[in-house]
Amino acid sequence: MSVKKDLLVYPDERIKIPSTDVRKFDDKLSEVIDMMREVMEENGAEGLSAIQTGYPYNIVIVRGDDGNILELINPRILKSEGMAKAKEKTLYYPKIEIEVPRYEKIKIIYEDREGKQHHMEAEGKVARVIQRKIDYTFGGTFLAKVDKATREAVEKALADNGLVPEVELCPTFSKRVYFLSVADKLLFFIFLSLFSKLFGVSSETLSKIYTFDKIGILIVFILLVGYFIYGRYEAKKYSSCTSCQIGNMLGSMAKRGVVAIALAVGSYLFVNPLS
Amino acid sequence: MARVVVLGAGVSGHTAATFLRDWLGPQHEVVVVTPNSKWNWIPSNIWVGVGQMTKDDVVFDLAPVYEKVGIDYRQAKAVSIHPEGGEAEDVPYVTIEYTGQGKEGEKELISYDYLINATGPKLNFGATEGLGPDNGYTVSVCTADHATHANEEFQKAIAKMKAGERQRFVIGTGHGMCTCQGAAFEYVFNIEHELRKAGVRDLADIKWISNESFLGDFGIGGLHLKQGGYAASSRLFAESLYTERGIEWTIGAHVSKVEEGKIHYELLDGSTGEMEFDFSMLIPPFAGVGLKAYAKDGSDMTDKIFAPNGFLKVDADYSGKPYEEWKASDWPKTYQNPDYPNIFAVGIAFAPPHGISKPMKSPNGTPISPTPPRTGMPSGIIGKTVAMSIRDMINGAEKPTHHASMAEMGAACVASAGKGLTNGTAAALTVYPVVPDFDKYPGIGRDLDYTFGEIGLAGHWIKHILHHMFIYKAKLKPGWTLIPE
Repeated sequence: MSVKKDLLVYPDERIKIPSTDVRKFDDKLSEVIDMMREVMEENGAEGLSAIQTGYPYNIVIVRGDDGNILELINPRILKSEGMAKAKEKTLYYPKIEIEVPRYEKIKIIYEDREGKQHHMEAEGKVARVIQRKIDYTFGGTFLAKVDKATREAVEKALADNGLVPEVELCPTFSKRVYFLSVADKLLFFIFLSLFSKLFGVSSETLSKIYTFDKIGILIVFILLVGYFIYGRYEAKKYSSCTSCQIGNMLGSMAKRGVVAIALAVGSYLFVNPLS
Repeated sequence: MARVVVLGAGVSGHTAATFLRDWLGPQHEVVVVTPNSKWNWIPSNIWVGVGQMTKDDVVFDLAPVYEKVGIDYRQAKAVSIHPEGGEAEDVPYVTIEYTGQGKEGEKELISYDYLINATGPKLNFGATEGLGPDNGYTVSVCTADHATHANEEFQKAIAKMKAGERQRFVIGTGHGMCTCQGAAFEYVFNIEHELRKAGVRDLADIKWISNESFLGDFGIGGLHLKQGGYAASSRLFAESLYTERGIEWTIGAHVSKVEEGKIHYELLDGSTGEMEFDFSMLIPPFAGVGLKAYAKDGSDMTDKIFAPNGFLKVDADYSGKPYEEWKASDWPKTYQNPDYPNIFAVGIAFAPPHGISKPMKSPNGTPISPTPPRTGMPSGIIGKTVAMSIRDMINGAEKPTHHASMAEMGAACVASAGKGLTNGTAAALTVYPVVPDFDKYPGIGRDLDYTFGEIGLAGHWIKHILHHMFIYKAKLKPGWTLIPE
């Protein structure tokens, strides 16, 4: 068998990868399904979604009421009736059992290994397992179906067992801030320079200060561009960090840009020895 | 001197015409032929449909805008295309029939050097018996007038509820081959929002019916919102939202017939059902506007230029390949007609090669799957791209110089779920590319770095700002070219 046998267990975050519809009904598909059946039997599971074995395809297998394994490819829940809570376990969260609300009766459409479309009705335990497995294909675990308190309690229980999700951490300090820090300091000195004439400095000194201001303003704008470029690099690197959003960066740049322009005008009027 | 004729003045046609006018010198002509006297910002029609805006808020007169910039505006509908000329003219021309400007009913020939077909769709209410506001029992928000009528009916329903009468609302798609699920999605949540505001939500049963095979398909096979570095499916997002707002859903449905107060439908499993309603807004399927095409000898060659659904063929792969062989490269890039290089089609008017969502049929053979959307942001981008190509071809280029494949293009969408300065909500989504590219992005076919979404009050503000911004742009006010599509 060329397909790799695997079983994702918390905190493996690949479980959240949304599955894609099966488009090719070929030997590879059969191999994946056969592998899934093996994993299911080995673990004594009631059902399995392909993503639980690391394959992001819309494939679900479920043990039916008669003990046979149902193979559901690209399943969709078409109709549902009733809602009931019952305890559920899943291989992804070992030793965890929680009450999850599910439809009591569902009607689904699906395809078989040959790509032929079928439909079926399911109720009770089978309906419950099918719903849980279909949720996996859309990137959701049963924690998405329960209230926040239950979810947090489960996460705490998992953490107590040493299982902690590998969450992408946003750095509390971003190196791109160095760009702003230098720009702010330059702007501060340029601001101080506006008062130069009050101290009766010579025209020659004023000219030098004015040159400093001009170069300083230019450097500020270069730093702002550098800030944006580096910020975009960080945004790619830490993609879940909201502070990396482009709007925040543009806001920071705009604010300093306006100050820089105002100081440039001030410098031209108050520092320029020729003005 | 070259003459560019643009048929239609919706988002894509208006964009193409106005940019061409801006770029081409006065020696060239830009002619716009549209049966409408007003431009309509269609995304805001849903707010007209719940009484939060009036028709005047979402439309403006085209004539003064076109006069200001020197676009030759003809309030007329296009009747036929003669790409090889004909008995009357040796050069290519279109025939038009006036619907306004005091020439109602008059016919005219307009020759062209370049033709952009941007007619948009025919709202094909006739595809489902009893569908639509004119000859049926459902309302629509597809035009500003339809939306005004929808609001009148909606207010009547609210009045009945205030008098203690329970009302049943059914919102969704009115045929198995509809597109624009997004507009219906917005409308159902705006209805729900307004009913809560009116204090009558407890007397309303709201149901959703659509041809999507899963909630959150939106005609693009669903999308995935990035959360914490991973993607969350639009199905989970949509199901949570519908559940939270107490809206029941029926999916995989082809509405086969509408009677007064009753919708008949067939599901993907071949079963049939009925749904009763007091107020229903169902989006109709779209079709081409019925333009004819004739060869120089006068013979009908509509089939050569147009696909069977009435949309104009462009540089797409129309071989009808099966779903498993669909590729991003099937989608058009230049929107140029393969037989007549001086004819282009933009927006809804171009014939897509196939769907985006998985094609499905009921056991009875009824196709029930969304057709691909070509509205909004992609529509504007395609209009501008074609305008750039035509500008360059007029200036000497031999073939189109710009590409805008929907398989290489991202789109942003802001879907309102209720209007209000402090309590409004909208889902702001970006998706890249619009058409999944399974070769480039194995798995879900999209780049998750550019696919994300949020729902909340800020989304509503963005939607409201966009309303004003795009109307400003469409009115060609100072700086309009700087506003993106």
